[in-house]
Amino acid sequence: MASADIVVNAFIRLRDSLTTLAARTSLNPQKSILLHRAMIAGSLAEQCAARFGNGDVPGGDRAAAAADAASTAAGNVDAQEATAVDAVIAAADTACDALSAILSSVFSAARRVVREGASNFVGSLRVSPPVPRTGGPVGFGAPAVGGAAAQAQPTYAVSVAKLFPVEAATAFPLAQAYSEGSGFTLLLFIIVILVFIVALRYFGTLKDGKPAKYEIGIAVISFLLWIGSLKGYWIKEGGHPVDWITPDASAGLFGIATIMWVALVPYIAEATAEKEPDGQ
Amino acid sequence: MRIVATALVGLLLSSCAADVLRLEYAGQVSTQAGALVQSAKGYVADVKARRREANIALVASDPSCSWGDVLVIDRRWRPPAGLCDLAGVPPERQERIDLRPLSQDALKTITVAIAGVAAYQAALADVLEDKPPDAKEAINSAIGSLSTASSDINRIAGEKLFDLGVLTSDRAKAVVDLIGTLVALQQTSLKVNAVRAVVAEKDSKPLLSALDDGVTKLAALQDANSASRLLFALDLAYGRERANADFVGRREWIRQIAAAADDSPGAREARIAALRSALTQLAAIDMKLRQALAGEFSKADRQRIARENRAQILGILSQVAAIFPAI
Repeated sequence: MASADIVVNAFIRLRDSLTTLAARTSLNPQKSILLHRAMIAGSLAEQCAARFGNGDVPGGDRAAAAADAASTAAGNVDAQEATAVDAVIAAADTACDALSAILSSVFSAARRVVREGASNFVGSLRVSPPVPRTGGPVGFGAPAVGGAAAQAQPTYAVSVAKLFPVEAATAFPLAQAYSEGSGFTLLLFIIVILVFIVALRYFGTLKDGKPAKYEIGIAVISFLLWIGSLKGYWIKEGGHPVDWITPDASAGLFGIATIMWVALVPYIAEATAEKEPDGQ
Repeated sequence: MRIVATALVGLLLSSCAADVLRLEYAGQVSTQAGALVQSAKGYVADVKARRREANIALVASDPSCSWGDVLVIDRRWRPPAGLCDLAGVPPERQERIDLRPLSQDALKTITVAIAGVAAYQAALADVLEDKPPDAKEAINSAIGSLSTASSDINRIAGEKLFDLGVLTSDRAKAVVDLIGTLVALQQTSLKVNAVRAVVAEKDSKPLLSALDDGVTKLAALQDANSASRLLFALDLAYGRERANADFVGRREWIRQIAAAADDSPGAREARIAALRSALTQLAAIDMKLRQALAGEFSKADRQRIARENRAQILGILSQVAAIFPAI
């Protein structure tokens, strides 16, 4: 595993060192082959940057090391010595093959994800297990004790991500900005977002024709708390709903409540699943 | 008495000097941002044009190749085989060279950051004047663009829906941080003291450094790849055609090859030098302006400085929108 920047920079160096060697040599056809490999190295670097961004490249350290070895060889070689230049080309080929193999395996995995994505979405947001569990400890991603169903349980972090409506959390500040202090407009936005949350989770938690209604409820409550933590209930039109608490203090309280709620919801979902084995 | 008079004169002088200083900083920031946007616009157009020329030359360099979205070639090609002749080449050795116009993705990072810088300045102007509706609108539009860009970065990075992991990347973080700053500014109702507190707390450095990274990567990767493509294409075509060309034709050909070979990393650095220098200066002035804003000054002063800047900042925002209307 190496960061994409390391791999990309190694192949940029390879491209440049091959180009420099091509300029130094008067051998043919090695000059053309070096320029061709430089173009290939650059193209692979570009694909790698586009695919991995700032992330990590699985197996990238090996490819980067191979590219660096080829670059060093290109820098040190006698440019007029055919065997030596051929060896540099072979080293560059090894490096390019390594990165190309990583990219093609990643791309085929990505294609598979896209192909299966549509059918995988139905039920993908569900946290509670679709079938009765046969026992074992309560927990997230608990080891094999609970059987296959328990093994398929999402981790705690994934549960939080599924139960907290991220799409609504990012949409609400936008709604706030566009409603420009109008309580009515903001209310309309809130209703639309709530409908969206419920619809998305209805299909996202659908298993055997039944949605996980507790999980939908949890997502709705999470969103309502989130509104509070962004002072969404304190529209200045005609005064605040309550006078004994300032908007800032209430945002703080809602913020704490949201944090506590988000921390606890995976356990609540787990408990409801335990109580009703079919996850309803 | 003399002591009091001296103190008063000193106070007046320092107050005037401070006003001049603030006006100067505010003006400089706007000028720098304007230059930055123009420079980025010119450079990006130039990179796209060079990419297109290189792709055309590459396809034309060998009769076995034809124009399309991609060119499939043998990764271990050796002359005299045709560049696009894939007979007997196993699939794992076939390499796809993308001939499409330069990806908007790479350019988007830069645009987002530029838009962020301009929006940030709009926010600074709001510190100086109470709740101007135009600037509020500009911030709303910036929040909308940045939210779209943030979800695009998420999608482009290829992560599954609702996986928050990708948001930890520096690029996405700079965008998300800026959204946070703009939302925080919205929530202050653009009241001077509250906005001042937000501005004092937030640092625009990550955003400016994201912009710098984007520009550097564009030069070292996409722009340099175009040069590499063009050089190979000219070399290949020359090898194929030199027997048929006369001296004048060959000389012109070699001249083009030599010019393409001159496009070294140093030459590419020189092309982005203006952009990077503008960025560095912008970062420096931005910091000074924030420091100046941290001081106390009258409402009249604030309004005067804001007037100086507002039109320019809104102009910059619309210029940013014009570069890449897609985001």
